[in-house]
Amino acid sequence: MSEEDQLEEEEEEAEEEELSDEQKKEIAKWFLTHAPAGEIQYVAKDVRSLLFNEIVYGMAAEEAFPLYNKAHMVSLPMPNSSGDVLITTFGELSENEYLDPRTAQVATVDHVKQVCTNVRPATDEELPSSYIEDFRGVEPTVSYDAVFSYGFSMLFHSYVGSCPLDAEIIKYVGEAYPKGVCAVYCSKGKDVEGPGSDFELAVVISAARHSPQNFCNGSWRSIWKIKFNDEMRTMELTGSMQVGAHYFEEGNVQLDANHECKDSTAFQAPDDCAISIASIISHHENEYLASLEGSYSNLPDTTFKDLRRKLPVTRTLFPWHNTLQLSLNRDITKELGTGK
Amino acid sequence: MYTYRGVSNGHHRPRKRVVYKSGGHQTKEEKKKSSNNNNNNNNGGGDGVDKTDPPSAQRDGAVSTPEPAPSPLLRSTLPSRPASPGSPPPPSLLELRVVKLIPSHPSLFFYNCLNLFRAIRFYTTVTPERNSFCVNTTGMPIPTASQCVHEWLFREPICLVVSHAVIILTLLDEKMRSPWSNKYHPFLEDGNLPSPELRKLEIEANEVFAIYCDQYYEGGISSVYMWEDDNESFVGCFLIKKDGSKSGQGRRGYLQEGSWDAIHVIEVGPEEEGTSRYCLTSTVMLSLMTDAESSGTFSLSGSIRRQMNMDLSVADGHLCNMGRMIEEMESKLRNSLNQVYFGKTREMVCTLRPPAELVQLKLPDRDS
Repeated sequence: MSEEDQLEEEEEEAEEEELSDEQKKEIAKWFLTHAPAGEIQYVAKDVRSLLFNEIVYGMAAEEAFPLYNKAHMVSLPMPNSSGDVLITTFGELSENEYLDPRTAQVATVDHVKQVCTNVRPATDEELPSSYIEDFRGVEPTVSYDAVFSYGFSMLFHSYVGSCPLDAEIIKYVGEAYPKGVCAVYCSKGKDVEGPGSDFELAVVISAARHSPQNFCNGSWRSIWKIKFNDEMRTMELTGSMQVGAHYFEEGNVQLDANHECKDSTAFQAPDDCAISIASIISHHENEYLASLEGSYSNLPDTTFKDLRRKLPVTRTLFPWHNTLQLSLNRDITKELGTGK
Repeated sequence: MYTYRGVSNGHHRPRKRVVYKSGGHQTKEEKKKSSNNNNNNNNGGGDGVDKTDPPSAQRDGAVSTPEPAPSPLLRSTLPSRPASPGSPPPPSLLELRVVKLIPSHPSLFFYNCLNLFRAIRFYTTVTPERNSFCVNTTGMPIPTASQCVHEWLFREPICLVVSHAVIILTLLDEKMRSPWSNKYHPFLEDGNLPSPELRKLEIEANEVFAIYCDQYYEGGISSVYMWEDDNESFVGCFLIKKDGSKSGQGRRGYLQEGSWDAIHVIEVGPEEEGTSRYCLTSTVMLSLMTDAESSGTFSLSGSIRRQMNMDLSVADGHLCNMGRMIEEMESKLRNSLNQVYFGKTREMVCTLRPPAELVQLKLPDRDS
């Protein structure tokens, strides 16, 4: 064997032996981003002590926390007590800045600590146009543009607060989720000024329940994208729902369920749109919940049985006292070729 | 006569010896390691005495404390109920209580970290079909990987990890003994073998267990390993692996993915006046996933571990006693997974979003 080969081999061995910092970081990141709902801080503590390397941990946390916070659509209370801001990709203005469309504020967040450190009013550029706002928002202040385009009925609606989608969704979430937080973003075409162009709104619902003292955490997340097709006068809805639950008293079980669905309806005036969108969302989410229930009730007798039966095929406990007989029988059936 | 409790209660297994003989699975590395374990255990005062828990010292991790490493290996790795109900327990997801067990010596600590990472990396990258599953669900892979890793790291009977042996042993480039042929693969000349007498029991156990497996699992693979212990006692390790997926051995075809791994380690004490003490530690790891157009993907996964001790007459033979205990334990584990653990996640879903009927009472249906 030449010297070169030997060197190469040694190198390979060394590689096998030791992971690079980069690889360790990736593994730590994997653990962090895969933490169940509400448990990333616990996982982080463990990963940190396992890594035993603050620099690598810091890098991993820096990358993993934003991903986790956005994927779990974490809600953080804003310091000026104007409610919670949801951390979502839709509201992401920069790495640490997230728009809260309801209050038209921009929250600065610390991803790793999972807190909101600062709030400022959003600039006009960061907010959707007033035309979009008519569909989306619940702004009590009425812009003259809106009044101009829609006449005084718009003004009236604004004042009584029965305005568009956000209000309808708040109402729905308040009724369906004991602890739900929601937001409506404009995900495409936020600068569309008036009829004639397509745009897209995104409804986001996030409901989390953390009760580590009862060894249980869980979250429900839905994202609904509503595509307003101006020419066809239709709205196309695509929804994706994700439900997770983790129970870990003297054991460890996780539920992870995902579902996607589609629907469409007519593009109407903002108020009517809002009502029909909310009712479509409500309908699909109720159906999904029912199907989850169905999956659970199918478990004991069908699904789980494919893993292990409750009783043997013979429907009696295994005859341990008579195993000799059993193995003899087995041998015989094997020999006779009648097995299988 | 008989106790059944969560392992987490801790230190109830009267342990006669400190290091398991691992039936020839030891490698150089491992020997190094087990001698360390020896030291640790001696420090902790092993030798047949049940240890008392040093909770506070362990809770904050052995890393910073210069105390001797916490020694009762397996026991303290398990999720435990906190002593005071007020303090929230760390989630058991990663089972990273491993940290507590890591010897305080920094180089050893690092050595273990390294192994852990290697194992995890292996688990998540080298086995691609497993990996795709990892990405889809946060459930199974993590506990599984780290569980086998910690069991592997700390050499609680090496056979514990045999059902994942393909993963772990490939990683270590170790050799495995087939319980059927009694040969090592790849061939190993001086591998440890059980005594002829124990081998006889091993053969019988393998045959009977294969039938047991057939009857309960309608398929599935089983292996039984036995090895001698000190003090005229021995240890049996019963392993079952079932692939219940549509493409595997799922008879009914409900499961897109489904796996059940059961690991039963049973220590049989020396015979005294016609009875022996049997200490059984069982772990079940499972994952199942259904996938349907109407309901999307639904996946449940997890693991539980329980312990059971019994003093039984050996008149019916060891195999009979061990078999009955395992059967009872498996039924209990299956039951609690099904009723308690799945039930709790279902409860959580209902807490997040109370069932539709309740909502519809309040919300007039506006669907056309």
